[in-house]
Amino acid sequence: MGGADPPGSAGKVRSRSAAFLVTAVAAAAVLGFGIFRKEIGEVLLNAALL
Amino acid sequence: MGAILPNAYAQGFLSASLYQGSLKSACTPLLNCHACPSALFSCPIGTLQHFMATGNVPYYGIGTLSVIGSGVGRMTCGTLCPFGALQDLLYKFRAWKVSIPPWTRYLRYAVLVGLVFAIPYATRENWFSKLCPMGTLTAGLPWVAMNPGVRSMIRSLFWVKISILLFFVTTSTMVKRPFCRAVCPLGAILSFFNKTSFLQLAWNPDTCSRCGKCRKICPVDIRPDRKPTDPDCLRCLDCTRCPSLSLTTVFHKEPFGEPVIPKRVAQGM
Repeated sequence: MGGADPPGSAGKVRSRSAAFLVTAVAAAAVLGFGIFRKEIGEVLLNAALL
Repeated sequence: MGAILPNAYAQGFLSASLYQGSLKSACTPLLNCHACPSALFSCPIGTLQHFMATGNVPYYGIGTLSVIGSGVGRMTCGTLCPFGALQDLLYKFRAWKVSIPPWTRYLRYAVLVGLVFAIPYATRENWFSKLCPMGTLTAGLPWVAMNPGVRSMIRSLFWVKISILLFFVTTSTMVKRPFCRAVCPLGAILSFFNKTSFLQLAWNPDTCSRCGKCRKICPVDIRPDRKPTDPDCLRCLDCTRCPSLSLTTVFHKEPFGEPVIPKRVAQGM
């Protein structure tokens, strides 16, 4: 899109990209830990009202 | 599509039974009750409450929502949620239209902390699910209609649930998405990710004429041109009909997220 970037926008993009990467890795780690703890089975038992 | 895909087990209604297959172990990023006879997946809020009520940290539920939130933010609220779609539909009815004050957005965080985490942990009961209008609509009412045994168990709580459902059905004809904006704990969780999600809304100050049409078509009355990363933004993409607003990624080099003075306005100063 046209025009020069406003001052500081490159830094904001960098910090936002870094924040996304940190969030995504942390989210995947929490999900992985939940799967490792075999929580999926308990979710199935609860949701299927078994 | 959000109403059909997670509720594709039509046999549940025909045989008055619940789907009990392996898909139920996956949480949908939608407010979709897993006690609905046609539900294929589990409700994330029901899952979080279940773990809190049993005294455990819901890593799997939080992790699932965090992965989805870090990818698309609240986009599932705006594009797939069946209860959101119902509210959009109800708002099309000719009725007295009002707007709700901005502070009501904080109520959903109170609902999340209170009814989803703290109270279930303290009482060992899933209190949000007991009162959820989506649960009443897609599970409570169908089960009461289909099963005489369930009908015989109706107590005062059922009428409280019906009252809550009727309240949101009525207010949805007057206010844009009242439940999503003021109550939904799932939206509260996903809203934390709007600022840093992979998909972002970008605003181009060079082409924006500040006409305010984006606010008029926004289902939650925000100004996407002033704050495209607003936690209230449902990422429904209705505002991208305007060429000044577009969907982009967090790596894209665009001036999104902060109000920037348009160049032509700055030049005129």
